[in-house]
Amino acid sequence: MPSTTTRAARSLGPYVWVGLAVLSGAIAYLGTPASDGDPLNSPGFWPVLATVVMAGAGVATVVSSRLNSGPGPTDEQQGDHAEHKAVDSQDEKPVRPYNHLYLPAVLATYILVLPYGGYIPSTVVMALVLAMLLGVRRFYVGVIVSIGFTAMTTLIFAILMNIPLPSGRGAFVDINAVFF
Amino acid sequence: MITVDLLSSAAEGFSALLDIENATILLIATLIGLVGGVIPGVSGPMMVVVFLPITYAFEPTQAFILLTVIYAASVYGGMVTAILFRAPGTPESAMTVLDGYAMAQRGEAGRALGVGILASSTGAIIAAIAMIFLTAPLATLASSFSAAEFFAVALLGLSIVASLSSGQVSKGIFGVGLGMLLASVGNDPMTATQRMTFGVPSLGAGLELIPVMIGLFAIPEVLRKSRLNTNVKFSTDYGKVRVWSRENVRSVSGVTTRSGVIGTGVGILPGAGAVTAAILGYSQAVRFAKDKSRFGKGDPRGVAGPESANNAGAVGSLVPLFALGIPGSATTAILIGAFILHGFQPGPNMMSDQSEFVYTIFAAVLAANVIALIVARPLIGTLVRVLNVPYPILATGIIVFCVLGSYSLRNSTFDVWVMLVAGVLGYLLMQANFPVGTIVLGFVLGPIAESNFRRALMLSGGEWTVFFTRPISLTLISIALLVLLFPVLKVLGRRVLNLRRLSSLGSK
Repeated sequence: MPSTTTRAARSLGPYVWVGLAVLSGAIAYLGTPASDGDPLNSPGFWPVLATVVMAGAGVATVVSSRLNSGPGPTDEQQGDHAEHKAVDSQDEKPVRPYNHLYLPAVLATYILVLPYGGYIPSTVVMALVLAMLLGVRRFYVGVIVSIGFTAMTTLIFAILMNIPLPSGRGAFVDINAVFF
Repeated sequence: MITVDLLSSAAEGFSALLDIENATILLIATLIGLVGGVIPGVSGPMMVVVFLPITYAFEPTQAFILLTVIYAASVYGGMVTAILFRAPGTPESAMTVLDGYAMAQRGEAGRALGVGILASSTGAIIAAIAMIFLTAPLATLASSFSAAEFFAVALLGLSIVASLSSGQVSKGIFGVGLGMLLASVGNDPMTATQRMTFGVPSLGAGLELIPVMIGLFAIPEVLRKSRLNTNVKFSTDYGKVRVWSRENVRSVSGVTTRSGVIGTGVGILPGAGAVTAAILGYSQAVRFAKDKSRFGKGDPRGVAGPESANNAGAVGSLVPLFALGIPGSATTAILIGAFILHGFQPGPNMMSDQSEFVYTIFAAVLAANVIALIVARPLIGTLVRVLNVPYPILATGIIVFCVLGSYSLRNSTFDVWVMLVAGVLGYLLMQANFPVGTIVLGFVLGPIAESNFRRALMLSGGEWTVFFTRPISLTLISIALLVLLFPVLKVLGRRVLNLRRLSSLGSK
């Protein structure tokens, strides 16, 4: 049986969409300059129209959730999500429950480090950490995977496609210069 | 005259495929699509966005051979896991589970796979031939369109939100609005005024489509699967696969042809798509069968019907993309973004100005399905073994490619941040059963709709009735509203019927 908090969260859920629409409306209003011309042809009209669409859809979500307080949509009704359910129905219980937090944190750290460490060292470390977090059991497999993917992407993007990858700062410039 | 032009354009398209580079890319793309379609959790849209950055350095023809063929072949691969493990590799193969898995349980997995290969290829080939002959006349009809009509066409494209978000239409419309809002960050298309940049220089040129798409389609799925136990071993025992056996051809040729034609028609309709085509393909297979009792218990016609229709639907959805510039599915919305990235605007002008380019892509889609028909049987063992590639390794590769794909667009870490934020947002929305494909739809079609809306207003001297006084524009806007309101009307109709039924029961 769902707890009071879960029930409250569920009943408040649809209002999040209205809140997001209002917040987006404020951003659109504050972020676009005023115009003296035809309001329909002003720079602000389209962003405001987008937020009106969002607000209308948000209100419709609230109304429909109030009207349909029964069971949720079936797999068939959920379209793309049906696939996930079909595939993972055997084992939907999370075994690494915080990975959805760790992975973005690792990626954010990587993006911060990338301009300093350059592509090769930063990516090797990031890919190794990701591989271990994602469930690679042996450390040496993680090392091979991370070096392999870094080498493959360096070959495709830096060497074959001539895209300048971040070369880092200080001593890292020399390390990256060995590869591209 | 049109037919002669059409045939010569088609011939040019096929001859362009004889180029060794084009032919190699075609073959590689077919294999990538087949492999990707087999792996649950690696969807067609995900593969197209992951491979899109690699095409930056490609010549446009080769770039679009790669992307469209990956898309077309990915639908094909989805049946393998649907038949063997009751887990459709792509949503389009969900109906194939019903009889395909039952056949596998009965020890006829090899035959089910053979029927699936035969039907998938035949359906897609029927649709590819229809695409070659139907796209040009449809584009000719649209060539006289002005800004008002193009706005209406974009609106019609946006109305397919109803099918992308079946069961969740209000959330889908919210997603379209969000996509439109995100796309309007940066320069105003008419006056070059900065919108919603708040003085941040990186936002000046707006948000790039590719990092947003990579973030929304690839990252959420990796985050979701990263929490689950993915160390599941699949059995690779499926018996002997026969594609061209007399038994297969005799038992499913009628169903396959009918479903191919139905799937093509459904795919061409804006707002329908391959999933709907598969459902219709299965239901018509049952309807036309003399002995209906075996359906659901392992009837090969129950595999052939949906497989032929879903592949035909996927290829058919390319017709409105090329003829009108409107997407029929989430993946075709991504393809529109890819065209824009390479400097093309799909629609009637592209059909007339770059006909050789377009027909080369059509020829590639047709050839890819012929190749798939030939190579799928010998490849099936490899495809099944690919399932056992450990997901942690696959996911690490996907993330590295996503990061570099986002970075290499403008050589900017800002775009990697955009990808990460879009990915986290996509994950949160996925948890709320939110159809993220609708955000991409709004992001791609929003700017097209806005610029044509404002151009039409400028040309008419600010008269907003211009959209309703031109018959084609009025018709398209009416169809868009009908497509959008259909799910609501369906629910209301059901409620009215239920109320009537209840009141008639009460009066009795």
